Amino acid sequence: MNCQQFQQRCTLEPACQEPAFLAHQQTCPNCAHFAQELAQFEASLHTALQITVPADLTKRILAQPANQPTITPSGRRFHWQLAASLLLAMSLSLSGLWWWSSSHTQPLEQQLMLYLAQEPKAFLTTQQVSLTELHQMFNAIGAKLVGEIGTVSFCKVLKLNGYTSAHLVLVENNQPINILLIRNSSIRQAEKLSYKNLQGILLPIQQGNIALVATSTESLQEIALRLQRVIKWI
Amino acid sequence: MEEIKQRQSRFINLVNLLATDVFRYAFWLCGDREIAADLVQETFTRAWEALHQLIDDKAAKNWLFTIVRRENARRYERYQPDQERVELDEIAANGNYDTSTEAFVLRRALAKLPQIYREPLVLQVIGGYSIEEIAQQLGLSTGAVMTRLHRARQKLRHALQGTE
Repeated sequence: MNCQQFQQRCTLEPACQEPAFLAHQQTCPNCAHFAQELAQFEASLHTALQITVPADLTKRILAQPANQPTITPSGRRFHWQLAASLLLAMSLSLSGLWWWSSSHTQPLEQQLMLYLAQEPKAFLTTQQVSLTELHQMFNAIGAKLVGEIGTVSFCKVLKLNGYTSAHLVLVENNQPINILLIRNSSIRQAEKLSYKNLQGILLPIQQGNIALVATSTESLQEIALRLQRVIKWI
Repeated sequence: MEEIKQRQSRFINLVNLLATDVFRYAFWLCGDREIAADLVQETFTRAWEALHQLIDDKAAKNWLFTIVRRENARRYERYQPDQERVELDEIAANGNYDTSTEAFVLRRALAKLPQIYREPLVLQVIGGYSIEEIAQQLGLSTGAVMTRLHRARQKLRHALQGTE
């Protein structure tokens, strides 16, 4: 390896461990000096990239499955949940406690948007949910599906501010529309929702509230009306 | 039950060992701490589900980085978020970081760096990958990776020297 080759390689891969590279560095003072100067820049670069990691990241990862109850635990999912429960027991996190306590003090609208922000699966899942799963979800919140709802890519039952709720994602024009049916909640006026680039509406319905959240509020009112026609509360 | 315990133990080891690097990589991919945390959680969820496919734990970092990249790409496909910009203020607000002017300038320059230059650089510096490994990860030729790494560093140096 000559000096030109060394310096070119050093610029591209300062931590190169190839024998020829290391040998040249040891025998050529000029290149050793060149490498030393570059090392200072590399150290600064390394430092700049080392952004602070959330203190509770590990705990959140290990606790996460407990925040994602699925409706029909079967096969692999069941094992995942079982394991997740054990993991949770092993690593009950402060963040979990914080989440639990704050969930009882935040307004419903805020709680709802925070929940969505922490539920990436809602935006990532692409498989269509089966009708059986949908019926089970509606049943779990005391409702019944009595008509055509459209393509649903995600569904889940959860508690929002203590209210039994259902979260489903409708796929409309290839865009995910998050729907939350919050049973027995009592917000009586329509409200706008907003969090980062998510927007939505929260509306009073017969048995609580319905929230529709997407990247745009276009068509949300129409979808809300359509849903109310096909969902019967029991 | 024993099998599940072994799997848990293996998974916890991976989380403890690699969550930090995976988060940093995710952050520099998406530019947002919250989304990065979500990406990391989703990545480890998928990792748990597919843990049986990971034959050698030495390959775990590579495997997890691949999942992060895929999840980030899927997020863009489905979600198209407006988050190209790295949240420097948010980094600053989180304390415990290098506050020197140099680090600030470098972070700002990194945030401005187009993704095609930033990603190989992050893989090299945070991931510790060789040029050949980066090429394999990104599906590029080694020549293309070298060019991108060279340009990335050049832009950062110019930023530090105040010539950009």
